[in-house]
Amino acid sequence: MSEIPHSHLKRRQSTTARFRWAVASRTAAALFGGYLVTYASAALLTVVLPMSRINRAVTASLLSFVVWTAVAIWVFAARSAWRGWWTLLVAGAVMLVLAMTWRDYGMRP
Amino acid sequence: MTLWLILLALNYSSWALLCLAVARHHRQHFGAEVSVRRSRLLRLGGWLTMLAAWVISVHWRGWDIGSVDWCASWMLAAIAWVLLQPYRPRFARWLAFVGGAASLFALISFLSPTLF
Amino acid sequence: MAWLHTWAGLIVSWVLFAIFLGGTLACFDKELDYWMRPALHQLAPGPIAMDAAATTLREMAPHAETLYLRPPSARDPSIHGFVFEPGKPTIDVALNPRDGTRIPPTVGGNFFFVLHYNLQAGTPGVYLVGLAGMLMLLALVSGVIIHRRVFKDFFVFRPQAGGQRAWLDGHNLTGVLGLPFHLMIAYTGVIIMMSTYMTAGVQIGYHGDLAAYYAALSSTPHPVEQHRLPSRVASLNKILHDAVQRLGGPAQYLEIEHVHDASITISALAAGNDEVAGGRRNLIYDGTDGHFRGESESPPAAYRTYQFLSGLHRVQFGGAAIRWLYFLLGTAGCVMLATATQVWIEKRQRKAEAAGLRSGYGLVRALNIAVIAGMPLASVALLWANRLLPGNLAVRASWEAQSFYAVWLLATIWAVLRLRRGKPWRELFGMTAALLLALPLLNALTEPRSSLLASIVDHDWVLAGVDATALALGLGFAWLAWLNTRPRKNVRRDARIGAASASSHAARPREKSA
Repeated sequence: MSEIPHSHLKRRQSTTARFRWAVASRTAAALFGGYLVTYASAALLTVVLPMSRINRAVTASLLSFVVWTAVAIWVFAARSAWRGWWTLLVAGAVMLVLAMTWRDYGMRP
Repeated sequence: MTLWLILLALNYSSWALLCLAVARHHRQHFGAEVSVRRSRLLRLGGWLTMLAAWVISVHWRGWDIGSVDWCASWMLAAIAWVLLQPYRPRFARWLAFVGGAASLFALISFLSPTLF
Repeated sequence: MAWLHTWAGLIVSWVLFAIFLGGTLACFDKELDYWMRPALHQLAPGPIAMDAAATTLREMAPHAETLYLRPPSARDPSIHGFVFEPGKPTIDVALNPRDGTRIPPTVGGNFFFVLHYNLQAGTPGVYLVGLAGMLMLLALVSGVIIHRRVFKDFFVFRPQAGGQRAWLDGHNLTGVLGLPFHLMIAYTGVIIMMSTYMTAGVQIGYHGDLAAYYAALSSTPHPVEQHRLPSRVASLNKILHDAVQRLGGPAQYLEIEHVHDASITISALAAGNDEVAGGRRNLIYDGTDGHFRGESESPPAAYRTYQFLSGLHRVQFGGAAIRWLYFLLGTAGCVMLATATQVWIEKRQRKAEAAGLRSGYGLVRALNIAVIAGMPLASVALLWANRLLPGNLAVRASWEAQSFYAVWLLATIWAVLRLRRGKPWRELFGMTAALLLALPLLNALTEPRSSLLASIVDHDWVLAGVDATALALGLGFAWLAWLNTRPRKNVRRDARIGAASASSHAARPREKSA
């Protein structure tokens, strides 16, 4: 999973300033972009899971931290920081829009 | 209290068996290469001891608390074996043997009224 | 991904170390609470004064709608009163179980518990701890992925290799062998506060109505207010007695709802120490005449899962033995973090030496000593302050906390000043050892009736356990101080094992990533 980007990064390790910016950018993507995707996925799961309302809300919250971990690790394995950023933003926005559209359905008992 | 000692001792013995099944560690401990057959036996013994410890723990404490007990003592036993090994290899092996034998003996004496 | 693991580095390790040490000590928070309240030692046998305790609590919070009382347990003989009023500081008081009066205040072992979940920094601290927990989860998972090799070197520990190699082995040893525990602790740790960290479920499912969400979680219906004063109030003592009979075991809390209304309702939650997820049964009583109304339904299945996960983290189940196992594994976690910072620092040593003293590297080293050797010292100082401050002092609790911070600050200054001339590791570990070893003596001098000897004679094993543990930990810290006096390369004890692993070490390619 990490082989290609890993060697890819190794080469850059000499150009320190650029490397540091890449780390900072990915870290920000993992934290903020990651939280957006996590939030959106929890919102969407609260709408779509086939259970009663309280069970949907709790299950979505329980799973959200697994989602965040997976997303953050994916960002650090992604080919470039830019690619990580836009994928997260698009995925988060799509899920959030879906959840908001069917919000009333999400409030079913 | 007895249960804890039995759990720790069995898990410790199982780690010792699994470790000695690895060629590199077998060489360190005995100075000789491990045969495939012997390695396989050691490994099987290790896994069976580990499984036995889990069964005992769950039998005594219920599946949830029993599993937590087993898992915690499993990790601590591993740390104990790995820490002892470089400093006192002979004592580490002796402890695995005596601990395993003593807990098997204790178990049999516990179970014997129901067995016979 | 190696950089994710390294980056989640130094500062986070320090924060996590503080959280881990606080949590490890909080395994025995109630035992420390008891030790720090000598007024509770050698109580005369007698009935439990729940009603008197409720009266005291009502006087402290005259307008509160809901009161909580925790009856005495095997771990802590006091009655604990809690009041959570919006916009006011939480009340958490220990009350004498015989007459319900307040006991001289102390921060108690609860100090470490609060340190563990918010670093004593209120709501911002809760978020900081959550972030640190999330980063720990990331460091663990990425650590597993990049260090797949460490599973092959599962049993390898080479103290004789010296330097960074030994630190890295130590880090891998405690990190890999304790991995199931650390993964569980990190995940369940962020889960516990999930309704603070992740609000999407409440926003979407309940339109952001947190009260409705909590109402759905608790399967006990709230009583309907009647807007008149209760004609009389039932005896809590009788209700507690009845609840213990019906539950067939201890009750964890009595909850008194609608204190000033005719709809006053009292519920008793089962302690449920025989289940990881804790008590599920909740008995409901009428608050005016005390008759048993019935039992609330089981909580929703997903919430029961949540209770199981948070129960795994909070170890209120299974007795003292499992708390000891958690204590030891928590200690292993502290070692994992301490060795991580050591690897981080040694890796950069050569570079920093080339850059000279002004690189700030010296300060980083001193701060590392201040965190890792200073915090244990400050924790023991808290126990000393508890015995040395006069018992009738009104601000006693805050002085105890301040002595913790003061000692930590002094340790930091010590580490900075002694870094070049002295041996701050050895000195701080040595001081911690001395304070720990002398703690039973201090206890015997200030509270003769609570001394180690007296508590053994009385079969008071909780009290004796704290003193005995202080002695054992004191020996441990003395050993650490002694380790730091020896030159590092001469640790080789067993020639054969040492030679074998040294040669296999040379044959292997050096690991690059830490």
